Amino acid sequence: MLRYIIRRLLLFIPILIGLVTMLFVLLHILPGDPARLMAGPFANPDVVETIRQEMGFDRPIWIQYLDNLRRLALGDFGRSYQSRRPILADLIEVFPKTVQLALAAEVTSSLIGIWLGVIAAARRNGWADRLIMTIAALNLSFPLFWLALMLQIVFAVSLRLLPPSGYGAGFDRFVILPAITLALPSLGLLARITRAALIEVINEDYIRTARAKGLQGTLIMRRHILPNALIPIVTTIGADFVRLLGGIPMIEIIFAWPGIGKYAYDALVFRDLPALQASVMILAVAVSAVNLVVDILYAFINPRIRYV
Amino acid sequence: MKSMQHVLLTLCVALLASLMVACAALPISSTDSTGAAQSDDSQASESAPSEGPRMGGVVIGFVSSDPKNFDPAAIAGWDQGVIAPNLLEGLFRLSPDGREIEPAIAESFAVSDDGTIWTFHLRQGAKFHNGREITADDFKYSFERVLNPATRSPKAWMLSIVVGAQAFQEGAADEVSGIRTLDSHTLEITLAEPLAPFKSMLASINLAVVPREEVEKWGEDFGQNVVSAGPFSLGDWNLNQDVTLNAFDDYWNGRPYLDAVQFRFIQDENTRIVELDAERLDIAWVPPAHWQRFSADPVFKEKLGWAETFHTDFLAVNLDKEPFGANPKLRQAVRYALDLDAVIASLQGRATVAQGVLPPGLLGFDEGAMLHYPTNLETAKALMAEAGFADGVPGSFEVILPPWGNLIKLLEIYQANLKEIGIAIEIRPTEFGPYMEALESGNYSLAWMYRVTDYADPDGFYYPLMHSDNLGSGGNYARYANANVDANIATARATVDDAERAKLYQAVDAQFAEDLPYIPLTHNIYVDVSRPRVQNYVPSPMDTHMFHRVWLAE
Repeated sequence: MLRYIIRRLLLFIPILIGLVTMLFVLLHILPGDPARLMAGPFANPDVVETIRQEMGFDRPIWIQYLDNLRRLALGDFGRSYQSRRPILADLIEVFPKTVQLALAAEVTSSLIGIWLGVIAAARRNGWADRLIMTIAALNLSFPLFWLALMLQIVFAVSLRLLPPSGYGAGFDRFVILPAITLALPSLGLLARITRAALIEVINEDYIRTARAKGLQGTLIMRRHILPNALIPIVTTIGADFVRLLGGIPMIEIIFAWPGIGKYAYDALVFRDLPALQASVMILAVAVSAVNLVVDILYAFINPRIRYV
Repeated sequence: MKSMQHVLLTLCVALLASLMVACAALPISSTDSTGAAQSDDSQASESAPSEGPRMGGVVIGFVSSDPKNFDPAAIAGWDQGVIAPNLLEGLFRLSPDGREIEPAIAESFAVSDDGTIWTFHLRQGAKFHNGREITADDFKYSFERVLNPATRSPKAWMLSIVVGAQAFQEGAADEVSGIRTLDSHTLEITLAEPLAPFKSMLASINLAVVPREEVEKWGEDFGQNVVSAGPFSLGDWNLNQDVTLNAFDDYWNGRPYLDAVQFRFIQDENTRIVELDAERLDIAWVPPAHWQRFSADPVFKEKLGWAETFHTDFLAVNLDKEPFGANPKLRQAVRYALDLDAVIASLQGRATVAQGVLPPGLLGFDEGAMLHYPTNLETAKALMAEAGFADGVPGSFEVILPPWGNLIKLLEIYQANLKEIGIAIEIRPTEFGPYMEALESGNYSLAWMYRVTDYADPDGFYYPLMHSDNLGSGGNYARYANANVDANIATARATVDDAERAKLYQAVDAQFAEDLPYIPLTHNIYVDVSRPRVQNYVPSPMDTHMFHRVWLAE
């Protein structure tokens, strides 16, 4: 198991090198010149040229690329073109806020989603099942920005219960609306997956055996059905968390949440290569880490799965 | 267990239902907040005349992104420019409405008869935010810092006309010989040639004064820890979240009424409006979708802030390219054919028709003196015939423009207008970099473009756009060269007398109206809305929001 984890961690390195290379190529293919953006609109071409030289953009591309890789290998993310501040300092501030929001959203959607799925499966084809599945379908088809705006209008403007946007330290009320907006679509998905997984297990022979020997319904659900249906659910939560990390920039922009998504967006607009590549690297590591955790969880859920 | 499930289920249904009724609830909630706001306002108007400006309080404004850096030598972005004039100050400053250049740290100044030697007498007792008194040496240091190539300042060109600037930049001299301190409060700047707009350049935030000891203390981090001399000093700054500016007690022109002003970084325009409605934001730009509501609302329509910005949209014509470049009649026909009123209506009236490149409000603008081109298809067709294209211009022509969504809709209106006189244009959105490169290299025939100025002076429009020294990459993208126009612009640059300058620019305008190297379209109007408690706030045509004299009625 430990060897497996170490091997998976080592795999991060080629992934990151590939990613950095891809970003570098993309940013150099994409139109847009950071020196010109730094100089501002209608800048004098001499000014643009001076900045280009000062920043080393006039060197051959492959030298810039190798220099960039060398610095990253030494753990130096560099300074942002825009703020001239060390990027590491920025990331330490913004990344935890994104993790906070993502966790709040994922915990909300997992708890409610699984619970709704369990009810639906337990009362399948009953009114509760139909209602839950209808809600789930509706959730899936709401555009996020619309959902966000409606939540803002209802809870912030009409009811004045919650702030419409912004950030407060810790898990306080600022996190509620963006977390719900992020959680609602995956909540429906999770409810459906849970229901399907449970129904599959419910139809198994060993469940009929459990019923036949007179076990109580809730006990069967908790002891026999849920554990055996967990694999697809955990897979979905993992995949959903990854989706959530990717979908977060838009939510961060709408809710003025000062996380890494908004940070990366600004960096992209400004062609701030060091800031952008550091943000993307962190997100990539986060995604790989989530996948790794899901894989490790499989082994705990199903002891038959072994990693060597 | 079962009842618990029912409760939670009911909650889910309630949540869903509340989402469903949200749309229906909207008008009700807005009348609610109107009612509340109205009572606020009536209280304010009752108390305002007797009390006058009230001290204290915090106004919460917005910009769309974190400005990242307030180092005057580094500022080039919109978000920085909105906030920075509250923090940074130099010899001169702009009035809150952005229309006057006022003395700031320079109490008085004199220009020699030949216009090259500028002597500034600094205010006694004007202080930096760190409490130290500002001296002439600080200005010499600050200006040399902007010129120093190691600073990478995008605005170093503003000082390139100072004697000795080039030698300093090339490393041939370790100081700028044209910047001298006569005594601790007298600064003398010698220019290589007279330059009237130099005064407005000195009012630019990029030439604000900074204390050497703080710049050296913070090094590369000075931009996040700026110390200067504006009415507010830099307070808490939460990355990507907000920045607070605190009132500077020792400001030479009196402490601001407010205790502080906080700028929140909110990119989403709907979120800003929701924040305004939730009374957590005092000022918001009015998005097109919310225009009707605010302009009809009895309270908010009184709190709309208008600024006719120093901004001109036009079609640039590459004069080196057939057929538009070779034929002024054809360009005039284009202008007559454009239905600018329809465009302005589609912008909800938030623009005015441009007759020239110069926006209203700047020296030399005289609507009466300009040649007007009213929309008139008959005149347009007659001019087409005179130009030899009675049956329309064969072929179709690309108009390049930056890839901004709203713009394409406007261009579609122009496209339909031109079709009526037999000119087919293709709308070609182009990434900003390649777009600028096409303008600079001349690899285009028609381009939509806009121009703003870094300094509040007509020179910021005429000189780059129309002087032949700036052909191509200098800003004269039309490649317009007319000896009379060159002479008039050059003389105007060197003329300190305002009335004389205005006349020179009007002569340029007359020639421009005939040649039409740029086909003027519109001038933008910026509109924002503030909460009733905010008093004495005006947005400025230079896209700055000044808070020195703003106060809060509570």
